[in-house]
Amino acid sequence: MLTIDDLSKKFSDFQVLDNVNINAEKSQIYGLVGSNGCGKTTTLKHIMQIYKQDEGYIAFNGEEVKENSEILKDFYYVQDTLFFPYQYTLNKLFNYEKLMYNMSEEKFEYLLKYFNIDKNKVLNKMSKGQKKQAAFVLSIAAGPKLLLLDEIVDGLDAVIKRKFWDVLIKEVMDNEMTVIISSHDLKELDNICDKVGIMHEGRILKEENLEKMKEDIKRVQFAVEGEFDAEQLKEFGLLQYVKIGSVYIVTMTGSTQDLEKYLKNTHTLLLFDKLSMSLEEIFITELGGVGYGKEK
Amino acid sequence: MIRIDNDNPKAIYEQIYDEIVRLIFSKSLKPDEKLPSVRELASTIRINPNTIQKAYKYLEEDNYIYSVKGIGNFVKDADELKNLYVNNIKDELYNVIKSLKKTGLKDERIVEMVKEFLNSDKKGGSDVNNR
Repeated sequence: MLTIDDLSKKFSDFQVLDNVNINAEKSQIYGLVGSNGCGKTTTLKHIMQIYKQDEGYIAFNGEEVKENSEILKDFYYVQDTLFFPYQYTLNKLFNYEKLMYNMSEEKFEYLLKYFNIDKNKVLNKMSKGQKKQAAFVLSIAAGPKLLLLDEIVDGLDAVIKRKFWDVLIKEVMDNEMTVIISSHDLKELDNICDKVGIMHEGRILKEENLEKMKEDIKRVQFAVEGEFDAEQLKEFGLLQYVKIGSVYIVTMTGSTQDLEKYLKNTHTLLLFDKLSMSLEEIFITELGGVGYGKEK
Repeated sequence: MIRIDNDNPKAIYEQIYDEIVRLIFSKSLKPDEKLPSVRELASTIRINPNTIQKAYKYLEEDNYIYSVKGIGNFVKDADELKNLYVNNIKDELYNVIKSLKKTGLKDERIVEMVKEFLNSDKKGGSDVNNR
């Protein structure tokens, strides 16, 4: 498992990472999500030791990750912005990667076919989506124990995305690979991640099993006859509410059953519905809680 | 074949559970038929494998399916499913009665309605709804 304790980093005067804590278990798909410029990529680069932290501790399966550690051979990092060596084909890069990784020819050939990639095409002549696929194929052929994917689904079409998840799920299940995947596309990560870390301004606001997150944050809509004082909602772990006409839409942490009971006892309840909560809505709620997006 | 509705407030594993039960009761999944593997289903509907595993675990606990180690999950045989089916419908009946009571109908009237329905059904005659 990957453990990051109190990771901090300053670039001159700017605190990019501020006590970042991440815990990803074996065979987990961990979604790292956050506002723009919150430090997701910087965090990933610290795991790879491309950047050296000012403070904090990174460990994989109990072993500390340091510059030049052997353990880095078990990690593979697919960057958001891909740069390939001049005139390199995917085949040439595959052979080059053998210096660092125990590359599997069999997986490589299988994935080339599955994604329909020409291994002899010059990488820098490929489209953005093709480059991402090429980099992903290499990463899986390297058979890492920890795979870091920075904005990998960005630029992939819907069909390729399916294939991407198919391959990823197989690797996670068959080889107990741990995946940290960052993305702005929260719909893409919803229901597929085991765990999610929500980042903002260099900090992890919340890290939790996604299913648990959805159990904890609930949304209901209701309407009662006559006047209603929203102050009463505070007892039920109110996070936020909006009123549209006479219908209240409430995001809360308390029990929805208790709220329904309370409303029935104190008012004539006209409408009470539980609503679904997506990762995207959880994200907006959490970031709204620290004032992000509340600028008028 | 399994539909996940993102606007449904039910947890995803519960939705998968419900969908498989629906497929079993409609006989789209037959007794002793093999269910899709966790990996297969996870990748088809793009849902976390552990979520699928959880749904399968509950289906097994509730006796809809059985698992054979190393081979997969299978639908239980018809006799065992019958009781589950009856219980399931019982829940529906309970909900109907509850909403009838909500409209203010007396218990006796509800019992009468059920009797009327059973009688007319016996005669093979008119549907209560057609009156």
